[in-house]
Amino acid sequence: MRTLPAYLQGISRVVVDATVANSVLAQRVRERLGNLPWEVLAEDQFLASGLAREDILYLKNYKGRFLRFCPGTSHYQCCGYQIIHIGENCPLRCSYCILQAYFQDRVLKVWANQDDLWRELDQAFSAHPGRRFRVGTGEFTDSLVLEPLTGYSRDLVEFLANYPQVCLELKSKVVDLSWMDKVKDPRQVLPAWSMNAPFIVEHEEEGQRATLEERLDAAKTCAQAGFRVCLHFDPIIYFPGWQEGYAQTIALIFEYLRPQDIAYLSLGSFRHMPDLRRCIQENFPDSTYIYGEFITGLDGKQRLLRPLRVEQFQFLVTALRQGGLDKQLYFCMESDEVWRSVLGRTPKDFGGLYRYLMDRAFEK
Amino acid sequence: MNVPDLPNISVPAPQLFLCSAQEVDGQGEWLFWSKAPSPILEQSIKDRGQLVPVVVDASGSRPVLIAGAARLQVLSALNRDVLCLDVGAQSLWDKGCMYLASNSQEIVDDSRLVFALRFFHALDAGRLGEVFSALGLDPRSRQARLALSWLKLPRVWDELLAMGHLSLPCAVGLCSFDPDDLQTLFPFFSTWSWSRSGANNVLTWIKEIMIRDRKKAAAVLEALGGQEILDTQLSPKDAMTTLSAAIWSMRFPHWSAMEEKFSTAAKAIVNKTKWQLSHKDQFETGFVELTTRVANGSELQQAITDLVALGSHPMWDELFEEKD
Repeated sequence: MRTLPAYLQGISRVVVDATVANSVLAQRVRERLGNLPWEVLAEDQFLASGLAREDILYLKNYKGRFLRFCPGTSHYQCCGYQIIHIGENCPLRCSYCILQAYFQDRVLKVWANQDDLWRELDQAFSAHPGRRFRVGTGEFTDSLVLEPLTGYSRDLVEFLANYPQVCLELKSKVVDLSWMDKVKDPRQVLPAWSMNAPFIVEHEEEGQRATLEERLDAAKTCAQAGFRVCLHFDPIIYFPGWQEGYAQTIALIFEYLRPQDIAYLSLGSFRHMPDLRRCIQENFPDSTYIYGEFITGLDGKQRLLRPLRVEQFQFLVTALRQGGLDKQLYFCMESDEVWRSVLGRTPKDFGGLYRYLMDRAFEK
Repeated sequence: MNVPDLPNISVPAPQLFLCSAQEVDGQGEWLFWSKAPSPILEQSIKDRGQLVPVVVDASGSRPVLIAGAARLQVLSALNRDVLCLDVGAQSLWDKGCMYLASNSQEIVDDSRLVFALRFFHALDAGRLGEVFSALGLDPRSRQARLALSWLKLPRVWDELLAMGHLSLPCAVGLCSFDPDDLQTLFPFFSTWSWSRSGANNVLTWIKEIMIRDRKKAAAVLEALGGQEILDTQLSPKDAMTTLSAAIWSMRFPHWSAMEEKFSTAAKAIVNKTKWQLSHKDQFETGFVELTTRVANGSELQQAITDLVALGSHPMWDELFEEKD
């Protein structure tokens, strides 16, 4: 049996819906986690996770929509990317992660009825053969964190090979490149990694996430194999010494990657709902960044006071521009005022962020 | 004479007797709601005498009062004998329960609830359900949960609750402080009477500064001149406003500086006009809002004239400094 990465060794139980117990994905997981108790839920049963403090892997017969738009937010500029919903929750322990407020348990859900997923995607993509789709799986889970068990991304890139108008972003904080050999056209996949200041990675990304160097080394491997990669500075956090921290990370990026290796790079300031703040206070009492100067934004979420956000953005953008990145830069959920004051342009100037990022994703 | 209903008390059966009011020991800790007798009660006893006996335990060398403190106090002041109902030797818990039952007509406000729970909690925290039941309170109610939180505070805070200087919901914020931090905070709440939101804001901001800066409450309050504000001759309202503003500025230094700068510029721009200038959205946008009220045509004309004049005020540049 293969040794599992440390971030998956906390899984204590596997639960599977009876209707998908014999699916390809379930069988694959069973083979890889044969040492764990295997519990089958009849159709009328529900998983009671209770207050379990260990991770439970739940292979579910998902009945909702697999392809959907990112919820985004009101009053701010969103990138309009579409989610391929493959599961929910994450075994990594990042203090700032919204998933802890969304899901409030330790159940790692994987939609095991892949045939339904393929059917829905085929219908959507075939119905609009001339339309381009920029999709990703890293919204409600880390795209690659369960890959050693499920092989989901590997299946997905293989499936998408038949749909050249689709570009898939795989967003992660771990290193797993096992899906690469299934990619026919590297231009169709955008491997993406989350970036932050070393202090934040060390203190706020608990769990067995990859180091910044490991992430960038993996990105370099992808770039050398013909992929373009994406990087995401999100959330950017205001903490003592943030300038040195983010400067260090940006310098590191250019040690591993050339500007042309990067399809796009997002910048997003830490923002949160009251629920998340409560989770952070309870789960990560040493995390003091939540006591920064937050105001209630136009969308009702807490955001850092605008001049402080702008100060951070300007600092990062200056350093990134010095390294040769400019057209690749965009903000996640920011106002036109912030766009203008930091980048000197607004999405309207280049035909909207959705269209712009679509063009960048499909740039040959 | 009507004798109050009594719990199932073992022999001997309750007995009525008269004795000197001074002879009765009225210092029991179970008399947790004792207060000065009302003038109505004083007058009634003066005019009509004692109509209801006090409840005592007469098993010892002198009768010990279980319920009826106000009546005893009035009779003692009048130097009259007191009619006692002897219920015999009782445990502390039962004395408390009898006191509670005798005062069941009293309105149980937050401080009374805390005083009662304080007594019973010290005896047997596991039996508090009986007390909530006697008080007609759901133990899962918000009031009950907050009162239980309050019990974690040193007893000295109970008086502030009774005086109305703080309200029960402040228990949550107060309980987040260590005992020595609570001691530091105490004078700021014993000196002034705070509104619920005022107290909660101040407690929240102080706590957040402490966590953010890794400081004790004493260091935070010293840095913002807390003692000076406490010693000031300002009215309580002004002193509390000054303290709150100082804490807010320390908690939100950039935001408060922006507010101050805006306020100075705005005042200068609309000076001597009826226009008001404010910003919106906590500086999330660069928009400002100008408003005025007019009641007739001449006021409207004046407002327009003022608006044209203030449009060229040099301070606008100050105001739009943050504008992108």
